[in-house]
Amino acid sequence: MSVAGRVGRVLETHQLDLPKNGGNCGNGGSRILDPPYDYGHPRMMRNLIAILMLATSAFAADPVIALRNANIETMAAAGRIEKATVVIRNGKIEAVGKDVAIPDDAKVIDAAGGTIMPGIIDPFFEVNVAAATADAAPRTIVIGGRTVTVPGGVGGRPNTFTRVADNFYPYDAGYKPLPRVGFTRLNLVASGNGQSAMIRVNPADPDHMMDRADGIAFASITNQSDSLDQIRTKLEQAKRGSNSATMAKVMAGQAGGQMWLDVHDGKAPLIVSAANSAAIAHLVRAVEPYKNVKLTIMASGVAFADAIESLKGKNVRCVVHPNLEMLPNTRDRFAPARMLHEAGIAFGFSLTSRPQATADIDNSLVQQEFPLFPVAMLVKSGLPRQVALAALSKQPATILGIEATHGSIEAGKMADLLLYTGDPLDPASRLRLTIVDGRTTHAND
Amino acid sequence: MRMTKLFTTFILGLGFVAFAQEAKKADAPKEEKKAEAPKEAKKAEAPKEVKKPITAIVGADIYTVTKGVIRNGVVLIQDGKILKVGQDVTIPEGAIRIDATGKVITPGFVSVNATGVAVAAVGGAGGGGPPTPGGGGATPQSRIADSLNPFDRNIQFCLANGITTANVEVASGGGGRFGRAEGEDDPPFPLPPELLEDDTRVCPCCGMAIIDTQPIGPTVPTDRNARRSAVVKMTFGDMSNMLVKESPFCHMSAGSFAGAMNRHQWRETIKRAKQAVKDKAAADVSGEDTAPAATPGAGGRRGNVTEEVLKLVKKEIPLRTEAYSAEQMRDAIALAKELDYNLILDGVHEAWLMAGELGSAKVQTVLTPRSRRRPQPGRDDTTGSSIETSSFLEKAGVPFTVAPLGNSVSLDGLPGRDLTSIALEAAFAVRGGCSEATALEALTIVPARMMGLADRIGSIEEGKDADLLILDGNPLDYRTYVEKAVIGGKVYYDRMREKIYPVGPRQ
Repeated sequence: MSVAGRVGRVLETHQLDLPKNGGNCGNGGSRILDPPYDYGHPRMMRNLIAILMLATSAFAADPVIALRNANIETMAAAGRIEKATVVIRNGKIEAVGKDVAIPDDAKVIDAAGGTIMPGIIDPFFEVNVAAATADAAPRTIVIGGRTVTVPGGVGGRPNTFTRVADNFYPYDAGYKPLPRVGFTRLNLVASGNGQSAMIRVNPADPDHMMDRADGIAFASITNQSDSLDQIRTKLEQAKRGSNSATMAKVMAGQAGGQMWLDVHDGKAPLIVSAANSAAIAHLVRAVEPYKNVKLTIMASGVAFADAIESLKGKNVRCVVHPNLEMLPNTRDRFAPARMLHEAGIAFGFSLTSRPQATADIDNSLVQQEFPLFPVAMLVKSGLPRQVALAALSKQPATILGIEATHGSIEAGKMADLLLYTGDPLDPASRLRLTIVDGRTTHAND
Repeated sequence: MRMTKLFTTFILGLGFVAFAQEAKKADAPKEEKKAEAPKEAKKAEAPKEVKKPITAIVGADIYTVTKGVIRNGVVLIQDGKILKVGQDVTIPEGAIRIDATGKVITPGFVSVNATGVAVAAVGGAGGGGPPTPGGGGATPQSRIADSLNPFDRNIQFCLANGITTANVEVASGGGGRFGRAEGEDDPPFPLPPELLEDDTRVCPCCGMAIIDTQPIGPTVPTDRNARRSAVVKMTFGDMSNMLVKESPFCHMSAGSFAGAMNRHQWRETIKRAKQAVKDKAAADVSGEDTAPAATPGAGGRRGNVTEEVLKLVKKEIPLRTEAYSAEQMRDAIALAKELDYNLILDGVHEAWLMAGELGSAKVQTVLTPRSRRRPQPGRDDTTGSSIETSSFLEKAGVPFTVAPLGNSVSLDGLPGRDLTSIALEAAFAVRGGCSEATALEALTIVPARMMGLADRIGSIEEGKDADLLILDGNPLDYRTYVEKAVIGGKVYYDRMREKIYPVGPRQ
């Protein structure tokens, strides 16, 4: 990182501290200082001094924000609080409630008529690892006078261990529109298996997007031996590892070894994408002997509909798309989310369905005026509202094992929240503010 | 909501035979063991009888297959097994009564031939990301138990046509110089063998039959591998007791024995396998761990002594191969006599010519009564198929099962989506002159014996698996529908529920 780049970024942050747009600190996502800078200017000089002071504690310098007069869907024990206030300080929620005193140093945003809910967490945001590096892109080669196009490289191979953080490319254009959808945190996964990475959705500050480079274990499976063995052999090894210190040492030396030891002991969750209903049944069967494993299954609604009996009463969470789908072998539409809810199975939503964070993104979701429309439709057709809202934030946080710090609006939790002009599930309302770790990543004022 | 309704009906359906599901789940590992050692399990469970709920199906004509027809009889089912069958059966107090007055009960049909049912997966039907290349399904690298797909729609089609157990081919045999390599996918639309191997070719210009010439050189010897298959019960949505047995046959393509060199290769393979069995026995006596040759595949790529071949020489499983003409059948019989193994022949178009020979050689056959082969001019013993083959086989005491024209769920196939089905194929055998009893055996006990599962399936007898069909008429009538298909005492198909066939009454 060049010094100039650093200065530019901090300067930008600093300038945003100045009261603007009625106290909103939105940066519009892509604003940069217009060169040439006039360093001789007294105000600029003052800024530079401020930068030097701030350089050591960039986050601490974030403004204190108070959002008042809002209806707050806390997703916590407090439930929905009407006409209440949230105070955000140092990236965390300082206080929530009806009678919260607004600190003197706070920038006050009046959210009258608006609703605040926790930021959307996507528990299964698939990134195309191969496309993120240039040498793995599809290329054309000539063999013996014939032109052959070789498909893109490393990421395509199944069953290879991928540590997503090592391939994370924060400058990808695919992340740019995500704040205005309401995403605050993503669990990045790739094809095959590996270790996910959890990121803050703050594409304006690419250097600080990475939240947890050591994410959770993920895998994609189908009903084939080598595919299922990805899970079975790792759990088998980890079981031996939990009984023998030597084995544990060996595993800790392997790629993802420690992670799988934690999965086995229930200290870390496991998320698996199942290609079909049979894969779900096989997966549940394979994991069943390991009582501590916190398993989450990602699959299509059709697959869940088939395999629902094998999920009932099991210690399993699910991830579905908030869509309507066809019942297996019929033309009857059904809501997979509602089916899971009625079967007593906890689930989270993933709003994205393809490798998203690539430049050639087919991102119909973020092009929508109202990205939560499918969720709203599910609620209209009978899915309880609280269940639907929880599936956007609290459940994904639980699935990812970060529920202690994320997924709900409570004092002490990280300040990831969304302010809507009206009800979040009303197609007439708009997302007004997206706040990630106390910083505004999207503002629509 | 529809979904809930669907599940409720499903659960009610299960309650119909009201199996002690919880109890069953609780000793699930035991159940698996039972599959391996059914006799032991049977003994072990005898004292528990009192506790488990009993279901009684009453009022139906019961075609037991092995013990005649019981008019207006009673079947008692307990713990997935048949507890009692007969007319004078006292129904225990508290038993769940199912009225099947006027209906017909037969054992579930058993198919020796199936492809693309229950094992091939519907790959990439969802999930978060792109499906794993290969899309799922059985590959030679994948174990069958891991490739089962209990949610395959084809299972329901099979059940709708009465098939409760099928031998599903998961990998075609490879090898042979012009054969497909092992692991290569099946063609998407498998052609019936008589189409592939029909030698009734006609000259395009003059319309005269082309007579085969002998090849100039001997066929190049290459290793042939047995086709992989597994016996699978059609328990839709329930994987726990689905896989019954792997490799019930040593199933070799006819080409494995074609030509002197191939035959030599086969003799060598058998010789090596016999040696391996002998070595193993000797090692067991002397207490050594393993004899090197006893390990499957020890022979290397050439003359591979596979698990199937070892079982073949131990007479645990029979050799199964295709033989259409009398000449091919005689060759196969001679080889089986020489090398001493049991034989199942598929096709057997010209069996009517030599039924006696087949009978004295104790050959079992797989017959497709509708399949046709024209007489071939220029070859004395090639006289084509006959609809009467079934009656010739019956008279000569040659057991035969029936196979539809195709092995998959397709037009003309296993449970054809037109009205052809495996039972209709058996009806064609009756058309050819055999008795209805023999035709019903061809659907049930004969294939069960072929697969070595006669102690579990294929007839309605005490102690056997409660795999049965409730039909609305004679099993061999083309109008008859399967009302309910029961496997292990549980209803897996209900005509009124699945709506695969018309649900209304006939006018």
